[in-house]
Amino acid sequence: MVMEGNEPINPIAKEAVNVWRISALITHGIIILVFVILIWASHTYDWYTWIPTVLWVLIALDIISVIWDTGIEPVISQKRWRFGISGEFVSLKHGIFQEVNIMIPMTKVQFVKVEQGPLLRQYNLYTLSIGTLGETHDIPMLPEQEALNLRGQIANNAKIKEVE
Amino acid sequence: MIIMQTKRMHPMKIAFSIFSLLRNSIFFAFYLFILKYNNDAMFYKMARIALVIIIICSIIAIIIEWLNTTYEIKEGFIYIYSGMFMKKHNSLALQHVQDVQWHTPYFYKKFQLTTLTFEASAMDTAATVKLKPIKKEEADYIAQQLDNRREIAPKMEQFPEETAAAGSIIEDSESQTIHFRPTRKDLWKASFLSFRFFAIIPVLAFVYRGIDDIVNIDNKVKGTVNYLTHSWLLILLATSIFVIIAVAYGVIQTFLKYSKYEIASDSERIFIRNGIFDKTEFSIRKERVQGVQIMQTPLKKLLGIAEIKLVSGTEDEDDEVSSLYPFLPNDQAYELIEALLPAFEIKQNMQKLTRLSLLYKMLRLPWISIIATAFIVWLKPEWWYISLVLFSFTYLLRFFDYRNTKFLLNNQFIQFKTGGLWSELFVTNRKKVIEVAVKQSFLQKKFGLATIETVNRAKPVTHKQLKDITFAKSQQFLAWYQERYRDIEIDRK
Repeated sequence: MVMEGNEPINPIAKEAVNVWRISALITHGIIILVFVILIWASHTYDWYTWIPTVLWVLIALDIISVIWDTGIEPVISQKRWRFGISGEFVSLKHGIFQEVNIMIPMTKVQFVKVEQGPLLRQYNLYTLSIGTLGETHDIPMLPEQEALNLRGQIANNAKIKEVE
Repeated sequence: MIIMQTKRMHPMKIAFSIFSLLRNSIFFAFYLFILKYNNDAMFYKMARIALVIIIICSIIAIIIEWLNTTYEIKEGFIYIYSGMFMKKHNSLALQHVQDVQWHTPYFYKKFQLTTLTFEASAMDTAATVKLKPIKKEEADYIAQQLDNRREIAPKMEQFPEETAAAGSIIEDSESQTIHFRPTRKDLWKASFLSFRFFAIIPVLAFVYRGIDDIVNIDNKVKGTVNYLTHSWLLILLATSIFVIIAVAYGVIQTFLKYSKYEIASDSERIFIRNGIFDKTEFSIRKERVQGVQIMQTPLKKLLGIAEIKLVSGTEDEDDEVSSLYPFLPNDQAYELIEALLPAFEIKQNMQKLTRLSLLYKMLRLPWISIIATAFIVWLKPEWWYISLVLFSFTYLLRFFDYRNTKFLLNNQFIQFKTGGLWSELFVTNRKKVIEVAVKQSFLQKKFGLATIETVNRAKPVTHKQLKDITFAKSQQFLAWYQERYRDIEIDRK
């Protein structure tokens, strides 16, 4: 049991901060690159003059959001993320502007899987997805051993079904 | 075990399909062959030929489709094979069939036919199988078999095959109780509340257009209108005639629709029967009902009338299915739920929101009004009063919302009442809730408030939210949900 009362207490991996930072940098890098190409094109092909102005404003806004997405958000997000698994429930808690605490009965879990993208592979981290009837809930940034253990544990507990 | 040969649908299907084909094309035929008979323009000639070709091809397609569509029931599954070029197989496990619907249009009745629709409680795919049409005796037989199958299914695990098979004879249709039949008075109320009389407007418009195509009445009407507007008495007369026609139309429609309406149940299922000429029967298993909603529009609220809706896995192709009679007097609605679904208990004394919630609701930024005001200031400053109306309306609605919102955790039941002018009471029990969430925005946190959410199974799921209850209550809600294990029964297969 890794839940105290209603609160899940297990954290996700510390490396999450770095992974989120890198992925934010990559995304914003691509966005800025696209804007720069558009600005170049607008000068070369004589587009309306307001177009490059707007693009410069967008780049400025994007740079501000880079500060948020790399400097602040990953740290708070990692700190806030909590999950808990008991014999009967999976419990997740996360969110910055809106804190969400979700509770899923094991008997209602339809599937559970682990996934790893190229960036996560660098850190040997996994995302655990828990599928219910309606939607899929992800627990991101779990160390390999923990992710595999959790998958086994949830899959095992979810075998039990209720009489409807 | 149900064993049947592969069968085609009843041959009358061809006749019905051709009939509806002709009915659908009669308008074009009338237009092309009668109205424009003397018009020898190329377009009309081609159109006439095209129509004939389309009708002939359609008839051939109907026959081929009938030849190629078969169904069979074997090994606990119902299969439908269809398609000429693309073979399509549709199968459904009888055990999973949740609702059975009977639909018997007037013409079917003459030939002792009916349409039988099975719906399964499938997770993602909408599993529906339609047998259209089949002999009524056969439908009875299949439905009977289906009941047996479902009765036995759980027992099969425990007993050897033979005893289970022998058990199938035991089942017999239990007597049903009829819970509701609208009275004359109910029907009159429904006639006016359903606003069906407005429906006459498009009908009249259609008739007008139709006649206009044949004789140009526009000019005549203009003359008449001129004549009418000269006399107040005539205007009054014309209006009242129009109103009388509209009301009569609404009343007739409602009476046709609901006068044979009936809600009945036995220990396992709820039956809704409907229709004078087109008979429909719908049944749903009580255990499949995931929650109950009591809906009220502002007008219904004033008149003390409510509509009950059942939240279930049933596909909502038309709303009528999940809705019990939409014009039930309040207390009768509660009684009906009690009688039909003992699994859902509704209590009247619910908890209100705190004053703090009201303050919080009032503090939220009224975005729509602000944006609208910005536009008004920018485009038409002289319309400032609209913005005033918008703001007061928004805040009034928030106040109603606050006044209306109530909730209750009552043993294994949870009740939410939400909505301002329109209101909705939702009841479900812990066992049927498949997921819960507590959400807290930054500002809610400062106020010590939270939003709670339940997820129930429907197609695929339905989320119900209750906003701005105290954080302490939200934690009670989570604790309440954790006690779920008390209500559930584990399937030991």
